[in-house]
Amino acid sequence: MQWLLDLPHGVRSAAVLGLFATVVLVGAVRLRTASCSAIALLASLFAAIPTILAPTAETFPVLLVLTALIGCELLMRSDDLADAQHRAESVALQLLGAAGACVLATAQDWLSLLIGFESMSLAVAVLAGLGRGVRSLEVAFRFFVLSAVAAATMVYGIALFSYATGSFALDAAPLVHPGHAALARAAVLLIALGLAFELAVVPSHLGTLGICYGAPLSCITFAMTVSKVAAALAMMRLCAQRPELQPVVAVLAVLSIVWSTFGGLAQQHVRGMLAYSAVGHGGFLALAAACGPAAQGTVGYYTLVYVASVALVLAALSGQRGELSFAEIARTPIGGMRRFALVLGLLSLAGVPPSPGFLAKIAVLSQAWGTAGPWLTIGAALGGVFGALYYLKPVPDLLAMRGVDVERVSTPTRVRIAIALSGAAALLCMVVPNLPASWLS
Amino acid sequence: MNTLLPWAFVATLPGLVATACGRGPRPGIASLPGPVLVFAAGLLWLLGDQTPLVVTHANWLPLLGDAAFVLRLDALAAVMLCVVGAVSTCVYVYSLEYMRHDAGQRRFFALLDFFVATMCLLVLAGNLVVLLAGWAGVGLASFLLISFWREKPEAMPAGLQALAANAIGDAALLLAIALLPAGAGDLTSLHTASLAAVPGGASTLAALLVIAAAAKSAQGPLYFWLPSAMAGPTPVSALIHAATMVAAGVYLLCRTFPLLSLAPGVLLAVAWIGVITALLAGIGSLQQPNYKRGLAYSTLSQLGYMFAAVGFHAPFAAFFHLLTHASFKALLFLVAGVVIHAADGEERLARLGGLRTQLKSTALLAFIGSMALIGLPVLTAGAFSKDLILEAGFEHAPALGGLLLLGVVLTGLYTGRLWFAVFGRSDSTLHAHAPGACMTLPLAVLALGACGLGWLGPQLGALLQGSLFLDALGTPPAVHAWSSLGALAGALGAGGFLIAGLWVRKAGSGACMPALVVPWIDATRDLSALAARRVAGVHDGRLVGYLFCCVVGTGLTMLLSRLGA
Repeated sequence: MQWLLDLPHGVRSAAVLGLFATVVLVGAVRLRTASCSAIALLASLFAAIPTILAPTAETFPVLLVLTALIGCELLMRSDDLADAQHRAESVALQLLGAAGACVLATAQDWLSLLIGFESMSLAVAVLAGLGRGVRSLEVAFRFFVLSAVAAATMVYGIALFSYATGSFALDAAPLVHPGHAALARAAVLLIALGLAFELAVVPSHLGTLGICYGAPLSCITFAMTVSKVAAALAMMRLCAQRPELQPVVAVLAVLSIVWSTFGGLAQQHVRGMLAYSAVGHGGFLALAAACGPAAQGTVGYYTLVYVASVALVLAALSGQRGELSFAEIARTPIGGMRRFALVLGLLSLAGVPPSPGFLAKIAVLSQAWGTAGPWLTIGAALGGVFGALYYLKPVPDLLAMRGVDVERVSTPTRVRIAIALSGAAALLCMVVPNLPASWLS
Repeated sequence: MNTLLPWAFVATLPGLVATACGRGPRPGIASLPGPVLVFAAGLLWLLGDQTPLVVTHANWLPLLGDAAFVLRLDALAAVMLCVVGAVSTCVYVYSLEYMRHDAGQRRFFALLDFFVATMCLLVLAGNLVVLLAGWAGVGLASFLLISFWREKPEAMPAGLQALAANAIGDAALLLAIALLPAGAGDLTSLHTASLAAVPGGASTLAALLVIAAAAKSAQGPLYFWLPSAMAGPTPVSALIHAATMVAAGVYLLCRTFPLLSLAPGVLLAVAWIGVITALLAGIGSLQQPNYKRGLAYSTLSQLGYMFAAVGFHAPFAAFFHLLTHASFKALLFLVAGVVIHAADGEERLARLGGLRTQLKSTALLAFIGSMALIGLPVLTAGAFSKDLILEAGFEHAPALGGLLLLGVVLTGLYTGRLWFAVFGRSDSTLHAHAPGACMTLPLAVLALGACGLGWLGPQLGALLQGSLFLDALGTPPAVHAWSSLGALAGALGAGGFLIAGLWVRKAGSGACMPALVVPWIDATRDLSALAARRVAGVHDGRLVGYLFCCVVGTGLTMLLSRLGA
C-alpha cells in the first residue's frame, strides 16, 4: 500500500475520480439524473479526502479543481443535452476531465502534463458534442481538431525538450552542448503554447471561444471552471520552473486581454460576452503566472475569484437556452435572485470596485508592474478597464426587468445552492480578501 | 459615536435594500434618511472637536503593496460630506415628485442610494485603493443612471460614453496604485512616500492623478461624455453631473495637492487644461439648442475654473468654488427639471420660450442661480469663489488669468442665453403646469446656498488650513466680498448676460451659435467599432481560418521569443 501513499496528490485524486467515472459508465443505462449528480458529488468528496487529510501547498490545486467540479455539478442540467439519457455519459466525462485536471494542475513532469491535458480536452470535446442541434456537433469537432493541434504542439515540444535535456522533468537543465539551451527554450515555449489552448490565451484561444458560442451550458461551465483552474495552475508551475518563459507569456497575456476587449465590444449576446470574457480572464491569469513564484498567491486568489464570479453568472443562466441577446434580456424570465446574481457576477468579472474581481485585478497589476514592466501593465490595465464596457452593457436591462413577473419565475433549489455557495465565496474574497490570500500564499 | 462617523458611506445602504426589496409606503421614502444621515455625519464632525478620524484595517489585501483599508474623516472630507448630503437630500425630495409617475422609480432611488454610498466612500477614502473603489463605484452608478430610460435611443450610447471616459481615469488610478511602493498609498502623505522608487518620481504619479481627475471632471479632451450624460433623468444631472461626481476630480486634486506641488510642470498643464476647457466649453454652451446640454457645457466651463485654480497653486479657491458651484448649479439643473417637467419633457430651447408668467417663482430662482453662476459681487456665492480664482490666476500666470476673465463674459453670455430663452418673454404657447411643494422647496434651499455660502469663506479657509496644507503655500487666501477685480468680473458677466438678452430678443428662443464639428470623437468611436468588428470577425466558424491563426500565431510567438533572447 505504500506505493499508493507515495503517489502525488493529484494522481491519487485522479485515480478516485477515474474509478467513479468507470462506475458511472458501467451503470450508464440504468442511472437516472439525480443519482448521476449524487455520484459526481460523492466522487468529488472522496477525491478530496486525501488532500484534506494532508493539507499542504501541493494539495491546493487539487482542492481548487474539485471545488470547481462540485460547483459545476450543482449547475448541471440535463435539458440542454440532446438527450436526457446522455446525463450519465456527461457525468462520466466530467469526472474523467476532472481527473485529467487534477493531474495537469499538479504535474511535475512533461508526460503528466500531457496526459492531464489530453484527458481534459478530450472530455470537453465530447461534452460539447452532447448538446442539442448540429451547432453543438460543429463546435465539438472544431474544438477537437484545435485541441489536437495544441496537443501536437505540446508533444513536439516535449520531444525536443527530451532531446535537449535527456529528461522529462519540468526543471531539467539542458545537456552541455552549444545548441541545446536554445532548443530547450524553444521546446518549453511550444509546450506553453499548447497549454495556452486550455487557458484560452492568444493565439490558441479560438477553441474556447467556440465552446462558449455553441456548446451546452454544462460544457461551458466545465470548460470555464475546472479546465481553466487546472490550466492556470499548470501555467503558474511552468512559469515558476522555467523563468525564460515569463516575458513571452506576459506578452501573450496582454494580447489576450486587449483582444478580448475589442472582441467583446462587438458582442450583442451573453454567450459571446462570456466567450471573450474567458479569453480576457485567461490573459489575466497568464499575466499573474508570468510574474513568477512571487505571484503564486495572486494566481490562486485570482483563480478563486474567477471561479466564484463565473459560477455566479452561470448559475444565474442555468436552464436558459439560446444566445440570450442583450436586447431580449430584460424580458427573459429570470427571477430576482438570479438577476441579482448575474449582475454581481458580471460586475465581478468586469472588475468593478469593490467587487472581488477588482481586488484580484489590481493584485495582478501590482505584481505585473514589478516583473512584466510598465508597458505591459499599462496595456493590461487599459484592456481591463475598457473590458468593463461589454460586461456592463446588459446590466441596465437586467435591472429594469421589463414585463417580467418576478413572482412567477421560480429558481430551482440546486441553483439556489450554487448561487449561495459562489456568492459566499465571492463575498469572502471581497470583504476579507486577506483570508483566502494568506491561505493561498 | 465619533468613531462611527467615518463609516457614513453605509448610511444609504439600508435605504437601498429597503427600496430595492419594495419596502416603505412609496418608493423613495425609505431612501430619504440616507443622505440626511450623510449630511449629519459631516456636520457632527464640523461641530465637534474636529480631530481627524482614521479607520485602518492594516492587512486587508496582503497581495497588494498597499494592503490597508483606510478611511479618513478630516475637515476636507467633512465639508465634502456636507455638500454631498445636502445636495442629495434636495435631489431626493425633488425626485419624489419628479419621478412619481415613472414605472422604474424604485430602481431609480436604489441607484441613487448606491451612488451616494460610493460617493461618500470616495470622499472618505484614506488611501488610493479605497479611493479607487469609490471612484469606479460612482462611475458605475453614473452609467446606470444615464442609461436609466432605456426606451430613449440615446441613453445607452451616452452611458457607454461616460463609462469609456471614466475607464481612462480608472486605468490611471490603477496604474498609480500599481507603481506605488508598499504601504505608500495614504492620500495625505503621497508627497512624503518613497517616490524615489516610482519611475519618473512625483511627476509620473501626479500626472496619473491628473488624468484620473480630468476623466472624472470631463476636462480637456475627455469632456465629451458630460454633455451626452444629459440623456439621464434631470435630478441625476443635478446631483451627479453638476454638483458631486464631476467635482470628484477637483476633490482629488485638492486632496493630493502636496504631491502635485512637487511637480510644477504637471500643475502648469492642469492650469492650461482648465483655462482652455473653461473657454471652449463656454463657447460650446452657446452652440447648444438643448436646455440641459447648454447647462452641461456650463458645468464643464466652471470645472475648468476649478482646475485652473489648482494649477495656480490655489487649491482652496478650487475647493471653495466646488462648494458654491454645487449649490447654484444643482439649483439651475433642478430648475431645468421643473421646466422640462412642466413642458411635458420638452428640452429644446426653441420650444420652451416665454415661461416667465407661468412659472414665476421658478423664473426668479433660476435668475438667482444664473447670477451666482456669473458671480454677481456681494449678493451671490459664486462671486466670492470666482474672485479668488481670478486673483490666483493674475498672481501666478497673468495671461491665463486674463483668459479666465474673458471667460466670465462667456459665462454671462451663455447664462443669459439660457435664462432669456426659457423665461425671457411672456408669450409662451406651452401649457406648463406649476411644480408642487416637493419640487419647489429644494430649489429654495439651494437658492439660499447660492446666495449665502460665500460668506462662509473665511471660516472655511481656517477650517481647511491643515487639510489643504495652506500653510505650506504661504499666506492663506483672504476671502472678500468686494474687490476691484471682482467688480470688473461681475460687470463683465452682467454685460454678457444683458447682451444675451438682446440676442434672444432678436433671434428668438432658439438663438444659438452655429455648431462646430469635433471630428475626433466620432472618428475614435468608429475606429473602435471597426476594430471590434474585425477582431470578432476572426471567429467566423471556419476551421481553416482557425488553424491558420494558430499556426501563424505560434510561428510569430517563436520568432518573438527568438528575437527577445
